[in-house]
Amino acid sequence: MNVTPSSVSEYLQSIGGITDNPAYLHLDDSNQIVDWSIQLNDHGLKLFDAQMITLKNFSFLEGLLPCPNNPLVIPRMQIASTQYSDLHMFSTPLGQWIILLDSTCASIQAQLEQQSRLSSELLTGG
Amino acid sequence: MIQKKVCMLGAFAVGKSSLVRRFVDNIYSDVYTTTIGVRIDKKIVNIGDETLSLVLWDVHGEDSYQNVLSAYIRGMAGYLLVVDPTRPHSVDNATNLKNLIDTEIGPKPFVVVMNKCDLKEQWLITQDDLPDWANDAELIIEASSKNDTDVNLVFQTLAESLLQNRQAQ
Ligand SMILES: Nc1nc2c(ncn2[C@@H]2O[C@H](COP(=O)(O)OP(=O)(O)OP(=O)(O)O)[C@@H](O)[C@H]2O)c(=O)[nH]1
Ligand SMILES: [Mg+2]
Repeated sequence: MNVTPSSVSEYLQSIGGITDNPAYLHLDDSNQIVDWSIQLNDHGLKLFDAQMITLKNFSFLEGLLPCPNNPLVIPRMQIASTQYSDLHMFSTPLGQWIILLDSTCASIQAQLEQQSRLSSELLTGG
Repeated sequence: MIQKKVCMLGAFAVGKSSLVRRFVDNIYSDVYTTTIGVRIDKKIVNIGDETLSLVLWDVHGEDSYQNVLSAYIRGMAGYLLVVDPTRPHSVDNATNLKNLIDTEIGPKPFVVVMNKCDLKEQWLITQDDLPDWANDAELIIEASSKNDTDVNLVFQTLAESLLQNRQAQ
C-alpha cells in the first residue's frame, strides 16, 4: 500500500475533503505516470496490471492536460460506471496531480430533482 | 492511435444522450433519463485507412448548471451542436453555447444536428431558420436516433474534420 503524497493530502485538507485512501494519479511534466493509487478503480477504472498502466488507461484525460497551476474541478463525471466522480486537477513543482472524489450520492439526488423538473417542463412545451 | 475529445452540446432533451447510445451501443429508448454532469464514452472510428478514438463527453443540457460548462469543454477538439426542431427554443440555447465556446476556447469544428427527424411533420423550423453561425458548421445533418437515420454520418463527419484539422496543423 502506498503512502498518500503530501501534495494530495494537503490539497484534500484545504478543501475539507476526506484524506484517507484517496484516488489519485501523479504525472510528471511530460505526462509520464509517476504514481497512482488503486482507489482509482473505485471510479470505474480497471487498472489491473500495475506494470502496464499508461496514459491510455485514462482516456477521460484527453485534452485536459496539462493540469493548471490553480486547482480546476470538473464535477459529476461518469467515467466508466454508474458512479459519479468530481475530478480535481492541479500542478505543483512536484508535477501534475489528478484526484477523483466520489460524488455519487449528491449527484443521484440532483438527477432525481432535475428529472422531475425537466420532464414536467417538456410536457408544458419547454 | 490518435485520440480526440468531442462534446455533445445542446438544450435539455434534444437527444444528445440518445445519439451517443445509438452510436456506441446501437440502442434507443423513448424513456427520457436526463443527464446530470457529464457521461464519458469512447468509440473508435475508421476513416480511410486511419483510425481515430473519439472520447465523447455527453454533457447535461440543463441551463442552471451552465457555469460548469467551461470546465466540461476544456480541451475539446470539436463538438456536436444538437437542436430539436420541434422545440425552436433549443436553437437559442445552441446560439448561447456557440458563443460561449468561441469566447472561452475559440472556434472549433462542429456539426449541427437537427435531431428527431422521424418527427418531421412536427418540426416548427427548417435548416433555413437557423442563425448565421450555422454556416460555420462542417455540416448540418437531419438525424434520428429513434430510426437510426444518419447517426453514424454525424460522428463520422466530425471525425473526418478533426483528422483534416490535424493534417492541416
Ligand atoms: N422521436 C424521437 N425522440 C427522440 C430522439 N432522440 C431522442 N428522443 C427522445 O427525446 C428525449 C430526450 O432524449 P435524451 O437523449 O435523453 O436528451 P438529452 O439531450 O441527452 O437530454 P439531457 O441529458 O437532459 O440534456 C427522450 O425521451 C428520447 O427518447 C429521436 O431521434 N426521435
Ligand atoms: Mg443526456
